[in-house]
Amino acid sequence: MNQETKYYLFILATFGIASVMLQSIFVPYIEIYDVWKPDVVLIVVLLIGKRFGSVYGSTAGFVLGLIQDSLTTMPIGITALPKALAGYASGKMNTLKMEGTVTFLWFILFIFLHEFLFYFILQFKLEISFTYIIYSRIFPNTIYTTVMLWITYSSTQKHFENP
Amino acid sequence: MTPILNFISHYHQAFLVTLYVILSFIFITSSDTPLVEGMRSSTLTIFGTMQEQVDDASSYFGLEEENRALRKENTRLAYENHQLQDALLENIRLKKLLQFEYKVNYELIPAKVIGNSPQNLITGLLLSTEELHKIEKNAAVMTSEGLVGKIVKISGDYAICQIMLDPNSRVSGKVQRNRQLGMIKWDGANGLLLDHIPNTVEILVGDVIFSSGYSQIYPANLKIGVVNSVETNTNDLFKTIYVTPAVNFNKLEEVFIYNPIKTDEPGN
Repeated sequence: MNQETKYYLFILATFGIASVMLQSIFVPYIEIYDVWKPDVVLIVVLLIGKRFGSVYGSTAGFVLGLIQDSLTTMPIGITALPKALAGYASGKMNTLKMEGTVTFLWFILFIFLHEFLFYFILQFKLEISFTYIIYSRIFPNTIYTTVMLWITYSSTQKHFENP
Repeated sequence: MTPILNFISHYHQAFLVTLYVILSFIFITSSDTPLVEGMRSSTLTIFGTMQEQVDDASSYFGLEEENRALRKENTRLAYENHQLQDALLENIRLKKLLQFEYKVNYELIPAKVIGNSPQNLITGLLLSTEELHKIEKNAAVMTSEGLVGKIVKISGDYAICQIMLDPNSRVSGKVQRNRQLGMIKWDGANGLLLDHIPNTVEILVGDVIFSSGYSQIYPANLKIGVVNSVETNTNDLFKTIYVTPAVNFNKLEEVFIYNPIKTDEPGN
């Protein structure tokens, strides 16, 4: 096992598990209108993808998504699927060596697509219109998660900077 | 073989993510298989243990304030208790006169809320109690305010409770004033809907909704919520009735699990 893989496993174990616990315990306290909340786990998946590449990003998304699903009443896989894709897409930025504002614009798109896909799968179980979900959940959550991503990235930059 | 291996090696990233997508679909469509259930159980036990430690540590900082609030509540309840004792004695005397037998055929098992379901859409609570071995899947969960939901997964000392705001949750409810039956479900935001109430039935804002008891899961007469708006749809058979839940799902720290005592058990 090379140094990079060891560091990846360390980041996945510490930041990944911490993010699932934060999502479960602390995120409900920062909800807005009891509905809008950031996805801390997605933030970690995006940062891992950007730092380590597509393979590690999609694996982190899949594993953390499965853990999230296991702790809910939802079918397992419903979060793992969009998170694996988000991790993969974020990892592609590592290959393309993107930095700065452009990175954040792509992140916003990935967060939106993640939310869109999650609620798109979920809507088969819901009896409310998807249009309502888009403006009441997907857009606000995308904005909130982006803000939290910026805060997280600023405070943990040294761990996610490319070598 | 070499060209195929070269092809796979070249596109290994895309192959891996495709594999994850396929696996996710398989898991979504096979939620009740032993593999998926085992995965849920082990994750719940590991994370339940960790979250309980974190929850204990974080609750330590609010102990002084909580202690003050509990002392105040204790004083109020003690005062109420003194007043109710008279009523209870009178009730017992009257029951004796009428030859009523007072029997409690259930027990309430306290459980600590150690976290919420870690998703964008909160659909469940993570519970912890050492008495989980006594209860079975689908046991009703409540607080003094009213009905919370039901247990959907138990693993060791930890359980997942599906709350009424879960899109899959359905509870049979009745209107206290006119005994009209309906179906309680999530409204898509942070409240509940009372469904299957015909347009011809009068429902008023402020009507209280209780569980009907016509279910093997939820006992009767548990408060569900209060009607906050009623819309009559001329093109539809049923009214749209919005209900404010009796329980504030965001501020739950402890809940009680309803455990009916089987009458054929020895010692009951």
